[in-house]
Amino acid sequence: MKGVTHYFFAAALVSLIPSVMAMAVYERSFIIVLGAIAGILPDYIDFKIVRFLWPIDIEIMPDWPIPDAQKIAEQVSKIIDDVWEEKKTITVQFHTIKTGPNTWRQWFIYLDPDKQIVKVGVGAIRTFGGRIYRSTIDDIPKEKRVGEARFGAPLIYGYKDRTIRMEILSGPTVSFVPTEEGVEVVFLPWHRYMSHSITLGALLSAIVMMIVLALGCTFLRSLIYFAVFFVGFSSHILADQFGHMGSNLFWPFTKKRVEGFKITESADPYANFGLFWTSLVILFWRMNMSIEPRPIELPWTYTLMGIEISLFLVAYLIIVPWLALILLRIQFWRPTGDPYLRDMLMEETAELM
Amino acid sequence: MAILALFIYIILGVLVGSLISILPSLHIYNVAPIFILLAPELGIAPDIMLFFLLGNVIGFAVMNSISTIFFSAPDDTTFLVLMPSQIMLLNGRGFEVALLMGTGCLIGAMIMVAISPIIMYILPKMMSLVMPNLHWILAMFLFYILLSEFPKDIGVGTNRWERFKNGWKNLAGGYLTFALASILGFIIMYGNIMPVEAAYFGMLPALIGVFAIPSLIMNIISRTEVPKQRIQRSVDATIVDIVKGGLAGFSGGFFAAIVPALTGGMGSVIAGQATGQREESQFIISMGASRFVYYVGAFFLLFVPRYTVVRGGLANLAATLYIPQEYHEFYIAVAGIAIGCVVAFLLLVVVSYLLAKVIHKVRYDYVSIAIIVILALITFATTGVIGIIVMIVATGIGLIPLITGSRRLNCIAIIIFPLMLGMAGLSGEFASLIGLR
Repeated sequence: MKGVTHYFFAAALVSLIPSVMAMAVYERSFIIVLGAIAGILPDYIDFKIVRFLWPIDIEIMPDWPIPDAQKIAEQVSKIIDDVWEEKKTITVQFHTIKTGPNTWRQWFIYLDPDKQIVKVGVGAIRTFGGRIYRSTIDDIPKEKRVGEARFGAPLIYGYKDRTIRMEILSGPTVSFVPTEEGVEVVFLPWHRYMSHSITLGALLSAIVMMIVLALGCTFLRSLIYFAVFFVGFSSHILADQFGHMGSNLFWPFTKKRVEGFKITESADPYANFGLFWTSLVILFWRMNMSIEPRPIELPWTYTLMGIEISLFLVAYLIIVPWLALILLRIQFWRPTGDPYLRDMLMEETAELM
Repeated sequence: MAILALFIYIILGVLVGSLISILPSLHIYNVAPIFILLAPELGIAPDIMLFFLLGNVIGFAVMNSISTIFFSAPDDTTFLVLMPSQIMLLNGRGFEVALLMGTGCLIGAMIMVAISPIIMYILPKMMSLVMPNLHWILAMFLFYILLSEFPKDIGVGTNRWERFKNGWKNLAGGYLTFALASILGFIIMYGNIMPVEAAYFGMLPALIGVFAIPSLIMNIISRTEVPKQRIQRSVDATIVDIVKGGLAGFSGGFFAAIVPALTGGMGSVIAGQATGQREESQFIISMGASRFVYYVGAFFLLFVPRYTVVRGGLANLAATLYIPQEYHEFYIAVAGIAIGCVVAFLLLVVVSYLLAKVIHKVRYDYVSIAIIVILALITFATTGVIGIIVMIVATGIGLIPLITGSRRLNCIAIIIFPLMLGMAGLSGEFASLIGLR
């Protein structure tokens, strides 16, 4: 999910914790903001810290302004063979080709484990916002547009469209990992590895709790802060788990990402908007509930186990919009490419869009 | 006849507001007090004056994009469009940006007019819901801006600390901007450093310094040359771009209009991210819509019958003249928005057409120097020497994002941070912390 969705989803879930809204309204506390910050923290850790500190062995920097596709294909195939022969992981940083303040030239790597070939293609110039200028392909001499090289090592590469895209901003990091069966391709090895961990969430929440205790608050109060931070942090991991990529849920005890439920993906605008909207409705409901007398008397309100729930709110502000979004998604959304790759590559840029 | 007179005043207001707004950074909120002072002298009744002011705001909301597009002198609501609009201007598409912004304004006005009866009903309830929660709502927006900036470049090299340093160059620049803008905003608002007679212009020097002057300085340093502009008969946007951009802009602008201290640009950024906005044209349209709804919407709230909502500097001032309480006044204002927006849009097309025809003939660096001089004169005339000092300090802060490549949105902390602390009752504590007390 996108940062803004995580942020508001965390705030909404945190507002459901008893006494949080009362603290926010009557004590002028910023506790909901703390939960929202916790909700955006896993990606913050990944994209602002871990990605820089992750070891890079080789950089592939295409020639500017027109890269030599053949040269890059040979470089990649050599890396794959080296990993297999030396039984040593090689992490590669691919770089993009910036052609202007807001434009980049696209290029692609296609890995075919069956035929054991690497194909590199150089494409058109595109803008940050996604506008592609197809005619700019003509700037590239025909012999430089596509390159192909063979490798001997067995390659494990399960993604459907088998294409790595280098488009805007910085390019992706890819690790080639030797295993018993062959060389495994791991995209963005630094992402959702240690930061998207429930264990880490619990640890950070405990630190927050200690700080609150140290500031002189009661144990009960510090426990609320623990819950707020933990719920906010975990909400991020939970939301991401509905995608394809999943997360390494119990790092440092586990080492690999657990595959997601594959219901949606981080680049899905409908899922993002739906969750964002639902979060706003929950916040609106909680804000309304916390003020006496209620600013808005919601129709069809019933009390269920001590909680006031408005069926009007649930039906017209949550169920109806979701149904509309699902219908629109079925009708209009035509995602291209592999959802795994979209998940991983789009997440890098979605925040900036 | 009386109704016709009100419409005439609205259109007159649009014309005057539009003409004033062509001048870079001359905010209608700073000029309108002069009209209010002159009204009794000219024998204009307070209720009529209010409709004239509504016209002023409409003209300003539509026309002020000119100074951002053609003179690179944005304000706190248009600075977000500066980069895409400058790129398009340098590609000979300045006229198209003006059309896109104008289209956004039209969509914003259309939605506002369409939902005005609902606004009348839900607004009082929304306000009573938002006000007790305002401190944390503002903090939510402020911290999202701070935390959501992502490194634009991961640098080159396999040395991880080098890469870390490269990546954090723009992030650190953003955090520094945020911190300094917050402190400066707090000093201005809490420290009451402006002269009493300049009360209406309190934040003007800071906003000019942070948003307008830095990009003008960059124009001078980089000796920007504007190419001949193409006059297009259509815009490079699909119907989806227009609808999506317009809706996102409206939501952001409407939220900002009812939540004190938020600006249309900020609301629109959040709404744009939530709706998966990507295209530049969508973004520019959404900014046009949000800006219109933010400015006009905030002032329009004054017309909600049987409930007094005073939002924004101009509404505060106008409320001292007259507060409409009748339904017919509300609906005249609604019709005025519809007509006024179309008039202002036509003016925008004409003026941007004329500017697009001549902009390549003038030395852009000279234009930038002239605008800086005008801005300094406005600042000096309204706030004196202290205003000039604040403007210089704010310019220094506003230059940080341009030098480090970080987000200019961080500069908005200059307004939101002190208000957020005030709402949470923490101003005193923060003043002690920075040695103001």
